[in-house]
Amino acid sequence: MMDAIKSFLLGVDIFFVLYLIGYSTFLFLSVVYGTLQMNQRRLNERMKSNLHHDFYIPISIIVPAYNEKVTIVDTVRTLLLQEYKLFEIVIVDDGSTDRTSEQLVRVFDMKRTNRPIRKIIDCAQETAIYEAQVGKVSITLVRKKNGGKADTLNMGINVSRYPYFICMDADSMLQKNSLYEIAKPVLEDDRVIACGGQVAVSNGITLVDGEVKSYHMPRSILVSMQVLEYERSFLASRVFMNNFNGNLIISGAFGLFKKETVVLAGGYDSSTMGEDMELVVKLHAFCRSNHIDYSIQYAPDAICWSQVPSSLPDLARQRRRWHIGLFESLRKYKNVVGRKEYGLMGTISFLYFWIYELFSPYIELFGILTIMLSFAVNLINVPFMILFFLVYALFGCVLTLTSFFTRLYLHKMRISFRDSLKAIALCGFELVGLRFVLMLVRLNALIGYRKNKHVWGKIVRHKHDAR
Amino acid sequence: MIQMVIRVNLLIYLYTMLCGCVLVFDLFYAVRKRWRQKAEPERMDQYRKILLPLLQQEPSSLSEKELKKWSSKLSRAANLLCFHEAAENLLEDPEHRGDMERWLQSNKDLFLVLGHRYVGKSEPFYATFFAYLVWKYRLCTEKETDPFVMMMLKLCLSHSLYCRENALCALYGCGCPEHVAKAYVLMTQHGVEHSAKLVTDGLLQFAGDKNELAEQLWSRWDMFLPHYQVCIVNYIRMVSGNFCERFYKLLSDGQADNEVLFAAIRYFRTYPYGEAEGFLQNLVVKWDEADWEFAAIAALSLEKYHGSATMQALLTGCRSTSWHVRENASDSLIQMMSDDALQSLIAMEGDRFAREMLLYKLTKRRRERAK
Repeated sequence: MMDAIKSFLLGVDIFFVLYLIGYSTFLFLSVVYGTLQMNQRRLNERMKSNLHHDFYIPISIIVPAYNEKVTIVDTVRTLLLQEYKLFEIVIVDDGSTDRTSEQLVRVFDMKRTNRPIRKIIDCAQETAIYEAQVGKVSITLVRKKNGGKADTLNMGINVSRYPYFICMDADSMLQKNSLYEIAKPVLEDDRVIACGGQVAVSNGITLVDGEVKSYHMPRSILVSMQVLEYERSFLASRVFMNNFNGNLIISGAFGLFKKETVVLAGGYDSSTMGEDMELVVKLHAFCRSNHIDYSIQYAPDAICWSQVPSSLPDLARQRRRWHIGLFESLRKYKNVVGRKEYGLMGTISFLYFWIYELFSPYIELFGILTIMLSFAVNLINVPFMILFFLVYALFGCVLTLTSFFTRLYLHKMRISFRDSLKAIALCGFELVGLRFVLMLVRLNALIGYRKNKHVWGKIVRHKHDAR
Repeated sequence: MIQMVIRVNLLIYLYTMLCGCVLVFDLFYAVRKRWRQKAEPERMDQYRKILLPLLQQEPSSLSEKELKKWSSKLSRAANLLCFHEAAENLLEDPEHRGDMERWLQSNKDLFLVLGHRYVGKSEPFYATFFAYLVWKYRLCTEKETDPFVMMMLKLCLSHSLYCRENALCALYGCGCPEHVAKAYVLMTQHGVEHSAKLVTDGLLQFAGDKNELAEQLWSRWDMFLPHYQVCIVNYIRMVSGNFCERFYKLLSDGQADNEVLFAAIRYFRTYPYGEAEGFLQNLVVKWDEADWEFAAIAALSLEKYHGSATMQALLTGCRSTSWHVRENASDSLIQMMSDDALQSLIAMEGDRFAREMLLYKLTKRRRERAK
């Protein structure tokens, strides 16, 4: 019996060494690569390897909304401040019950119209359409029957007039150069069919006229830990995966898409919870299977400030949705892994998401159970285990802080000494505390996930600090 | 098991050490960069102080010794960057602008030496920066054998979009249409497709006679890729109305690429041409399923061709099975009719789609007028 346990533990040892080395190497390489890339971008800008055009492509900004009366008006106001020549705003109200539409109609003096809508993608029936013109920007508000976020975005695509569209959350704010920055890759490369922006946590910023006037770490510890987590994941994986056209996620909070390709691929899938990831994976699969030369890019200078959950139950709900979305997208396109025509995207990106994102909570739980078993049979080297955890935690903290401070430096944002200390102190908690809690959430995410598929993920909204 | 622990132990230490070394290198790189950046304003000021007395003197070329000294200094990209910032400051200052321009023009040899060094480097951003300087300092001339023009023509074939764009801007800036036309012929020959939007906007920046450039481009028409032909038609649409006959021939021949033909149809929206009217009306009325784009674009172009035949064609367009044709035809039709005439037309219209579209457009127009 003891021999069998020893053999089992030896196998587990080998598995975890390989698993953690694989993960650490990926994280390490991507943070170092991301940092160097961001520095190179700044150098390129100084050496005039940059475009200084004031107009690229006409863009429709689609804002899906469901019970967003607290933030929707501020969001539209920050959109109106964009330094971009030609764009329209399309807000789609998915049957809100909190007077979201009434707020918009009142504030922007919108008028009801009988505009015909071309339904190129299937979506729920509209109930009313309003239009207004603010300066050069046309604003359209469509009220429709409730159908979920994907359905709402599809309605937005149907209503939009321009060849490129941006989807963004109703609780997000853009800096005034964000449209300009997210459209750049399209001009640089005709093959670009989608481009993701950098989503940053808005809970600690003050935006004045579309520019960040002050930035501080949020008061809430939970939100501050999410700030660190966002910075690490965006700088690390997205910049790295960009290198081989392997990005599988463009955040629903801020992404640019070529309408024609999205329509040909079938638009957003209403049957999934992670419609943003599903669309990007679908675009990859669509272009690869139809031999279309394409590129999906990430624009780190196109910043979107988005609210994150400020309470643990809200955060748990949000992460549960993300995990279900991840599961659905990976399962739907499981045949992509390892196929030659899908290249590095099919192997590195998909394997990374399967092993280190989708299965990670189960693997981590398995690790904890194995440690308990080792304790029980007295086969564990405790000092080594502690040392191992310390080294691993230190390694993770250094990478998180590198990502965080690199972005602050590159985007010319300053934080106080106290906030720097707070970030240093919290990065450890984020690694062992928040990560552990989220592991538990993700462990349970797939239980009964088929229920409430078309329900919007709701978190408590706070008013933006935008003037 | 103990052996395994020891081996894993070693592996982890080795791995941590390796990562630690790379992180230390990263940190060192960041600190060094920061330190250099702090020294830059001082260095820029030094260049300004060196340049100011030189600007006061009679403009003359640098002596061979000075040329060697300057070129050796400016061969380092960091120094050239500081020099450029100092020069840019002086060029922006009305008091020194003229002197600075004269100094740059009389010391082209220095930039020629630098050009050979920067253009030859493997990373494209050096050549990109050099092309930018040639553009900003207006170093290209109209001479066919001008060495800067030769360099810029070579850089137009670079795989870096920014490098191509800066090189093209340098050529637009010198105002010689032959150089610009030659650049696009070369790019076509080498299969280089520069961004269409940048080409059209770039051509519009041309500093010389824009009509002459249009003629030069047309004279080499068959030497361009359809990608560039579209940009050229779009450019000509912005600058000259003298091409109606030529574009009509292109359109009626129907041999060109579809995108080129679309651009030509758009040209007749900006410059109405009597002979094209019937052709455009026909496009709206009779079209195959696959050719809906011709009908949609022609419907928009017809807004400038008032008359009952056009109105009839547009009304047919409003009843079309294609959404885009319907939308564009109604846009054009509404430009030609008064509110009352439209109101009665809508009342009599039997096609539901046409009625809805026209009614929406009419309501919108009324609202805009009331505002």
